[in-house]
Amino acid sequence: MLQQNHPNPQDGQPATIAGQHAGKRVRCSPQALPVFDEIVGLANKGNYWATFIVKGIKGLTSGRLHMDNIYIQQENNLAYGRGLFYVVLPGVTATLEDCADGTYMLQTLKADINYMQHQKDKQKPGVWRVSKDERKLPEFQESGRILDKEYRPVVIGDRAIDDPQPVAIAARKDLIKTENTIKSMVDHSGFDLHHTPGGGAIVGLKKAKEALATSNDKALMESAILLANTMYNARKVQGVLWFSDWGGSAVLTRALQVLQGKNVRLDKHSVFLNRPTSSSSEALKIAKDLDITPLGNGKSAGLRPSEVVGNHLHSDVTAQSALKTGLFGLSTASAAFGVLGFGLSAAGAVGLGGAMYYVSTTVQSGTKKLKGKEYK
Amino acid sequence: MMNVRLKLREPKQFIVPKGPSFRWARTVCSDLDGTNIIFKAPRYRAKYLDLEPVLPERRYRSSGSSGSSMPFRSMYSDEDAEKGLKDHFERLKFFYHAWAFYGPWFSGTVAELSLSFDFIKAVNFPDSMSLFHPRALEQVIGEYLTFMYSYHLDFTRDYIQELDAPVNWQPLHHLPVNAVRMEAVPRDFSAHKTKNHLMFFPIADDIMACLHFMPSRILGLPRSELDKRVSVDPMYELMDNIINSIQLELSPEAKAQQARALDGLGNTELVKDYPLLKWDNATWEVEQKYLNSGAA
Repeated sequence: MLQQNHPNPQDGQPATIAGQHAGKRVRCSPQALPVFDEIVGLANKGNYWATFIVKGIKGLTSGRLHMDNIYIQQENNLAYGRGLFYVVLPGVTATLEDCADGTYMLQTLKADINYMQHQKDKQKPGVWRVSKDERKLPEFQESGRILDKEYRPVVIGDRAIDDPQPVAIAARKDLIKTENTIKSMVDHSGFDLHHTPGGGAIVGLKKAKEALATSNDKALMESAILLANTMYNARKVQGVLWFSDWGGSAVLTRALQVLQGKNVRLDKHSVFLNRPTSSSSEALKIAKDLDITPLGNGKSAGLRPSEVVGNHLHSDVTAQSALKTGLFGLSTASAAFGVLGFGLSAAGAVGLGGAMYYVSTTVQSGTKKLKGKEYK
Repeated sequence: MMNVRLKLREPKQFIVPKGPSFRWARTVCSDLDGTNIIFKAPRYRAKYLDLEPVLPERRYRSSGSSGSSMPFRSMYSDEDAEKGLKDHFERLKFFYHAWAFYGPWFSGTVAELSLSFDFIKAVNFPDSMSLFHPRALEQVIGEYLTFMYSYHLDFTRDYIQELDAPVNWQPLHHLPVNAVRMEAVPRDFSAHKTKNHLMFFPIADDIMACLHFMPSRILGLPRSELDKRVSVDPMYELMDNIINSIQLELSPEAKAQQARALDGLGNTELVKDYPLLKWDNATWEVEQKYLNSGAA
C-alpha cells in the first residue's frame, strides 16, 4: 500500500515522500503535495496509471544518473548538475530540484488526472480487447495488459481517428490472412489491439511526414512506451504474436527499442510486420536481440502501388538516426519502461527502480528549452 | 456530382453522401427448412468495413441430405462466462455486406453502411418457449441486447453503462410474423460513436432473424459534430429500403408452430414501448451528472 504524505507540522518543512530509510531523499514542496497526494489516493484505489506515476517518482531514490526520462533546462543547468530538472511520465510533468544537501525536491507537479479516462475515450493510446464476434464492440483494458492466453495475437494498429470497432475490423482482416492457425485462434477467442488515436486513416496513402517515425513524434512515443510496458507484462505469456499493421510498425519498432538492452527476454514470442511503413530490418534485428522469432519471413511488404511508393524506404526509426534526430532522440531510443505489480526488496529497488521509468514526450510546454540528458 | 471512391480533397461543407442505388439491388433468396426469405440488397462495395462478404446458400436443411446443413455456432466464449453473461445464443452467419457512401467532388468515402444478417438460435431456454409468442420474443431480444452490450460499463465514470438500448422500439407490420426494429445507442462520452440499428423477427420456435446495421461515418467524432459534417439520411434510406424489401413465407411446420404459440392469445402484437434496459447500478443522479456534462 502506498502512503499518502502530509506536511510536516514544523512549519515550512517539506514532506519527505520517498527515501526515508535508504537512498536519496525525495521531498515534496507544500504546493506540489496536494497533487501528489491525489495521485497516491488514486493509486491506492487501484488506478493503474497513478500507480505508475507514484512508483516513477519514488524511483528517484536511486538517483537520476541512470534515468532516461530526465530533461534539464539549459539555463538552469548549474555545475555538478545541481538545479532544476524535469521528470516526464505519461500525462505528468514534474519539476524537481537537485538540492545542495543531496536531496531532490519536488517543486511542481502537473498531472492529467484523467489520463485513463482519455485512454478509455480513445483520445490516448491503449489496449483494447476484441471479441471473436466482430459485431461486438471492443473493450478498453484498464490494466494495459493483453489476455493471458497462449499464442495470443496482438495487433499494433496504425494511427486512426475512427471508432475502435472499424479499426478492429480492419486489423482482423489483415491478421487472419497471415496464417490459418491464427485465423482459427481469432475466430475462437479474438485478439488484442494496441490502438493509437490520431489523424490519418488506417488505410490508403498517407502523407510522408506522418509515416516518418521521427523520435519527437509525441503520439508515437507515448504509444510506444505504453506498448513496451504491455509487452513487458506479457513476457510470461507463451507465444504471443506481435502483429503490426501499416504504421503500427513504427510504434512496434520504437517499443522494441525501449525494451532492448533491459535484459528482457520475450522468449517464444513472434513478430510480424504487415505492410510496414517504417524500416522492417531494424525491428526484426532488435526482435532477434529479445529472442523474438519472426513469423514466416517476419513481414509482408505487399505489392500494391500505394505500398511500393510508400515510405518504408526512407523512414528513420533506427537507433542511429534516433541518436541524431531531435530533442528526445537519445533518451527515447534507450528509454526504460515500467514494472508494476512487484513487491520490491530494498536491494532490488535500486535495480528495478532504475528500470521503472516511462519516457514520454507528453511534456507540453517549454519543449524547446529542454534537451536530452547528457551525462550517463 | 462526382460521387466517386477517389479522394482528392478534404470536404469543407456539409455533405450528403451518395450510396449504391437501390434500383439496381440484387434479390437474395434462401430457403431455410421450407421457410422462404427474399430481400434486396445492392452489390458489395466496401472500403473500410471490408470483412469477407457473406452470401447465403440457396437452401438450408436442419436434417436430411438435400442442401446445406445449418451451421449454427455458439456465440458464447470463456470471456463471456467471466463477465457473467449467459449462454443463450448460437448464430448462423447468413449475409454480410457493406456499402461505401461517397461524398461529392472527389471527397472520397465519407460514410459506410454495413449489414450483418444472421439467424440466431435461442438455446438454454425452456423447451415450451416459442419466439412466435410476442412476450417470449420481447424477452429473448432483451437477453440478446444484454448479451451484446450490458458489460460495457465505464470504470472512469462510476461504472455507468456506455450504451442505451432499445431506443426507438418500433414494431413492424409488413411480415406475417411479429417484427421489430430498434437502436442500441452509445452514450455521448463513449469511444464508440456509431448507432447500432437492429431488426428482429422469428422464423421458427427457437430461431429468429437479426439484422444488424452499422451506419458509420468513418471519423471518430462526437455525433453532434458528425451531424454537422455528414448526413446519415442516405444510409438510413438504404436501410429502410432493405428492411421494406424483406419478404417472408413460413413453411407449413413454422406456420403450425406460430398457430400453436398464438393460440388463445388475446393480444398477439409486440408492446408499443419497450423501456430502456438498465445494466448498471448507478443512481439516476449519478447518470445525470455524466450525461449532462457532455463529453466530460
